[in-house]
Amino acid sequence: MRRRVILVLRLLLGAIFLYAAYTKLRESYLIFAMSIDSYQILPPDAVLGVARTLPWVELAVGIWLLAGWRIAPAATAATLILAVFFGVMVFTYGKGLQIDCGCFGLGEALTWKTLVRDGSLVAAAGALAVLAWGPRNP
Amino acid sequence: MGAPNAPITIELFSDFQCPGCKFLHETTIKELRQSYVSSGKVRLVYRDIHLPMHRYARIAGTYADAAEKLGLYDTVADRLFATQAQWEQTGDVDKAVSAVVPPPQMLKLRAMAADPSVGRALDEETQQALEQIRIPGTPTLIIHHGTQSERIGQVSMPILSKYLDTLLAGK
Repeated sequence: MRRRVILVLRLLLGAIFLYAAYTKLRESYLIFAMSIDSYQILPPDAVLGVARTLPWVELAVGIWLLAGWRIAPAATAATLILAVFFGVMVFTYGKGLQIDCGCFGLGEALTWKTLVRDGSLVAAAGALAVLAWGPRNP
Repeated sequence: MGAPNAPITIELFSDFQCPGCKFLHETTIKELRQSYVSSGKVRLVYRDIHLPMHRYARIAGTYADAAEKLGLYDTVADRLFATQAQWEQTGDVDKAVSAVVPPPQMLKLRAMAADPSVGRALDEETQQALEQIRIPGTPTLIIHHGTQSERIGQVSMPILSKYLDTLLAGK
């Protein structure tokens, strides 16, 4: 049972990370930069740096999860990344900014529904990390 | 505003009572007008809408749209955003605008703003923005270049100018 749950969670999260990377890498990094910039958290140079690197990090984590190699650190990395996204989104939503989420390219508003979805992803990645770090034969 | 044949057209969906719109107007849009619109690189189309939670945004929009017909849009829009904190308390948009428009023109502007067709046009633009174009909120910019179009929200000038320069360079 535990192995099946781990398999389902890592395939689901891996596919989501790959899709998130694909939606950003298929267009100019500047489009993603404008999404990041709309959160009004980072200075312009940092915005550009994150826009250039984050999609590649998402791609790497997606491949790592799908490959099934060293699942525990991969799940931990995914949890940390998703938790940061979630924290930033909650903070921004709380400020009342009406912006594009930028989660999967442009065109998706940041709403309570996006928060529920990303919160669920954090929970799923967290559960995968706990299961993967746990004893193999309890 | 700007050259009709500019290679890039930006539609700006904005609400005069929205704090984010004020910030965008006073930072990015101000620089955009100076650097890209006046040089003919960008055509800027204002879409003044009024969100339901903003009680006086509609009346502010009618003054701005009437001002556009008199060639005073920028003057009035700048003033409305600069004094947003005052008129959003009292609803006295007229007082804010009359401080920057000469009396003879103010008489005309007042009459034009009171014309029900101006308000109706704003209502239609708002309905279209929210229900058909489905903007995620205000401010929203839709950047058109050739067949390409991207919609973004709050953006700073350093990032927007990099994107516009890339489009203009045909990269």
